[in-house]
Amino acid sequence: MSLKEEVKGLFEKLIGKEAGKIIESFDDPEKYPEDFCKECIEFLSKFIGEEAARKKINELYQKYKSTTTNLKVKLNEKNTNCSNCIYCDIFDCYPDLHFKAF
Amino acid sequence: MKKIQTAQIAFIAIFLIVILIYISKPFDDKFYIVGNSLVIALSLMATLSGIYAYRIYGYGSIQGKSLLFLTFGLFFWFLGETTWGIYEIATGIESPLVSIADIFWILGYPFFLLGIYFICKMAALPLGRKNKYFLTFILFLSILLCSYLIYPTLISQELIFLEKLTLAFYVVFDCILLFATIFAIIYLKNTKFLKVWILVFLALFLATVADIYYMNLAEMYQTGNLIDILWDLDYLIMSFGLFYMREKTKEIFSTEVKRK
Repeated sequence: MSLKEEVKGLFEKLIGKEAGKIIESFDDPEKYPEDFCKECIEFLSKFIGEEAARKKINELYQKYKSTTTNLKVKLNEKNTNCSNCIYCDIFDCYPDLHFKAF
Repeated sequence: MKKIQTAQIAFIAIFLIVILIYISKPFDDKFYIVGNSLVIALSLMATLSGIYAYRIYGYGSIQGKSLLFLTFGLFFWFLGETTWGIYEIATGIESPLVSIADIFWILGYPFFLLGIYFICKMAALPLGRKNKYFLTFILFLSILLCSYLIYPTLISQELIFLEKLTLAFYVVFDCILLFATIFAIIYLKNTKFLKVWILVFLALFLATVADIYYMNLAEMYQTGNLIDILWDLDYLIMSFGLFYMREKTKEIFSTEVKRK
């Protein structure tokens, strides 16, 4: 499943079918996956709060990233060295949720 | 936004009318008909607001499930109010202490709890130490307060066991609902819907105060008592909260679409 479909599924599961349609107004996830994720977090934050939204979207983003770049991603491993952390390359640092690529 | 403001004014106007009616008490000894009709109408309004809010989410979503269960809870309370009204208006039985109406009211509570459970499930985050301490404190306080409040009723010689049980049930479950709503407020404090849950909390708080008063004065209570205003206000606030939820959701959706 593509990132767009995954996020759409998440929106529908949490907020309903109408929310799933909102995705069409976001940036193209194939061309700009990071911007797309930021928009999704911003939207979802309004319903479940920023922390929960970041967590949920990042899980999907990491899944997408691991399939597209072929990187093995270990979830929820705290990484003290942010230069190795995929997560911090894309979003602002979020210490509870680092994803280490190895 | 305009719709929300208009609704706000309308709800305040309705509340002022309710107060005016209770102060002027039209039809004097038949006022219980007016009192019962008012609370039935307002509980119906709350149920309809629940359906209105639910429809934008649908059953497939967690938010939709939450609203559906809240609406079921309100519907059972509406049935409770209607049954009580039928007792008083149609059969002439004044303020029955334990009746079928109580079954409906009691049935509403688990649905409210389910509704709050689903809304908390949406965020599903660990609570954090501070919140855990806060909630433990509130829980402890609620248990103490509940025990203190229901004790006189439980040892009362004038009430039969079933009456004691029913009256105590309302206060205990009101406290449980209030506690659960605090949970929801903590989970949703950084969302656009915090206001809704604060309104739900306020509505339930008013119902709790009214139930406590009713528990202590159950034998003397008559429809038309000023305490009825609290139940009316409870439904009114709940209606506005649910209406606000629907409109706010629509506003968020349309803002996102417009951005494109």
